[in-house]
Amino acid sequence: MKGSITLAGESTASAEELKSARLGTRFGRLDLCSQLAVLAVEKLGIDFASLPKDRIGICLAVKAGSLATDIEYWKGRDSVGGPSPSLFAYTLPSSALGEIAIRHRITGPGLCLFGDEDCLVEEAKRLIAEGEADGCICVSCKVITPEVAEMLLIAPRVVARAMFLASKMQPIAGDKA
Amino acid sequence: MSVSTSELKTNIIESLKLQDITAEQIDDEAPLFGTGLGLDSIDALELVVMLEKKYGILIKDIEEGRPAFRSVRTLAEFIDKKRAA
Amino acid sequence: MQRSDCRMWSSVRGGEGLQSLASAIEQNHTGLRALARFEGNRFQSRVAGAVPEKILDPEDDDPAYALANIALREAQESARAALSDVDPKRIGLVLSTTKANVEALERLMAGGRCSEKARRHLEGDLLAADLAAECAAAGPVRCVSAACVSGLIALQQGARLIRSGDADAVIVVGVDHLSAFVATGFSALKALDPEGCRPFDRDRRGLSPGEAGAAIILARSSSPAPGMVYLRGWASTNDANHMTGPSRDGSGLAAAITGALNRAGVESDHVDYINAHGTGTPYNDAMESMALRTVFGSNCPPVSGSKGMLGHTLGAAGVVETILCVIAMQTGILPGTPRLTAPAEGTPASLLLEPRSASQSRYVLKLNTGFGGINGAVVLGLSS
Repeated sequence: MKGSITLAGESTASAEELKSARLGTRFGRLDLCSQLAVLAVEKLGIDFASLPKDRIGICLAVKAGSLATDIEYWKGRDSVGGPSPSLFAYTLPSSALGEIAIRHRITGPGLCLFGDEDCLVEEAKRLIAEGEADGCICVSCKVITPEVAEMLLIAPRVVARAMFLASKMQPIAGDKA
Repeated sequence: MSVSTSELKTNIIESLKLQDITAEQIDDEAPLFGTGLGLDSIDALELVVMLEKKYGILIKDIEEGRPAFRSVRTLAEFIDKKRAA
Repeated sequence: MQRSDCRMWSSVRGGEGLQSLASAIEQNHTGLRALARFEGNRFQSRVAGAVPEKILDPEDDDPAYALANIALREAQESARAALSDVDPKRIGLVLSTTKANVEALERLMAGGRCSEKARRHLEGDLLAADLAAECAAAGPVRCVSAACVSGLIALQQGARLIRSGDADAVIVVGVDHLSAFVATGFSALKALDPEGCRPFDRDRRGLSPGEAGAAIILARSSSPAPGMVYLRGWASTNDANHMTGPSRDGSGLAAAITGALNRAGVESDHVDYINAHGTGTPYNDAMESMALRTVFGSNCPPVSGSKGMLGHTLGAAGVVETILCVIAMQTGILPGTPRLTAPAEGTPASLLLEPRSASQSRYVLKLNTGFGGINGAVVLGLSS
């Protein structure tokens, strides 16, 4: 065991906040889940550029998977020109993980769980305990839009939560988004 | 009648969900891919869809579209040519 | 470097006309066919790998559950004796899937009939829970969904659960069923080969969708039994480059390979065989060739790709293709690369077109990469 694992940052992101988030010209291409996840990680306020990026893991838990994007994609199946190729690229629960990695150039291990956040922190600690990473960005996304809620017969809820767990790392606070 | 480059730019912005940029800010001659707007291969596929949806133009082979996609100007000329045919 | 102590039993169902994977390997069989269900403008290609109708009813509204269950039962049967005195609370289950039961989404959005069970299995975690209940696994349950690397990530997850002491055995089950959803999506990306995938081929043009249910049971083992396969090492990395394009130089995959070999304590020149990801897309196969060159230089061990046999089985791929490695290690026959005829420039010289007998396959490396730029590698070891 490498010593204690500390919680070095915590944040949440909501759909309302996305309207005023200024995260680049191409941010609009990301699906809702990826946008929320990226915003939540931005709000952690950590300067990832100062950390060894191949030793940072990303653990993501997505309740209801990519169903919100799946529904949006499949709606376009018979439209003129066909469904959106760009949207299809996001019909995977792990899309947000890729977007976080791309945005911060993080190259360590990845784990994406289709489900709720109950074991997210436990799994991040396991990754660190195995020596596969020294720090872990944990993100939990719930993208239960009204359409998803209707399909799954559960209550709607759209939110993302992020945490940074670190063992050997001393993260520096960077500029918040 | 020639296609409006202003309208074309609006369609590009909408189709690619570009944020914080207006049609006026996109230069007609600037490269769309690589540098300039920095679009990529998925954007190219999305623009092919947009051409069919908004202008009724079918691109069967992406290679056919490649020279057309160089800039807004070349794309507008491509649309005019296809419509005249 | 500590050795991982997970031995494996396995079962898989996939592809058309596959009676036994071992004989399919020997015959360099391809299970890909032109399918009537993929006729029409929506689909760039009709060619895909489908499970035979006698195994999976095409009218089933819950094909994800059906396929997973078939594999689960067979795997359990083969591991029955060894697991008979393991407390069910110490048996976990990790499901690997990219789309779970997306069939239900298609039906519901078409206003069609869909059972409550099929609808429930849209959610990967609930599908996993029900499969765990089905096989009396009362330990930790997870659903991993990490694009095309899901299977390997799920195996890694199972190994971690055992090594952390939270389970003594973990059933890793991978499943994805053929769907119009996925086929139209890859068509929209122009990522399918109209003729069917040709991994590493000079004329390759894209992938072919496939479907499978596959299960591997990992168990803690204090004393190695001869002839058993062990999960010795693993790693995953992110390219951090582009959502659907692998990093141009293959460095992310190379790092995953190196990480897995380091964890396993195996030198690169002791690897006897590599089973590649080899989707048949121009980009993937070129990138993968570069990654192999980075790690192995001009001494790449024998390598082959199996997606010409079953197609790209997505969430099941990592589990299915690991099982192919296990069979290779136990039979001494290395798989060829079905549907490859003319290797492209830059591909490894050691690429196997046809199956080959091997005197020993002590260490085998399995690779996968996926959308979003995630890479995975596992190292298997054969106990002597």
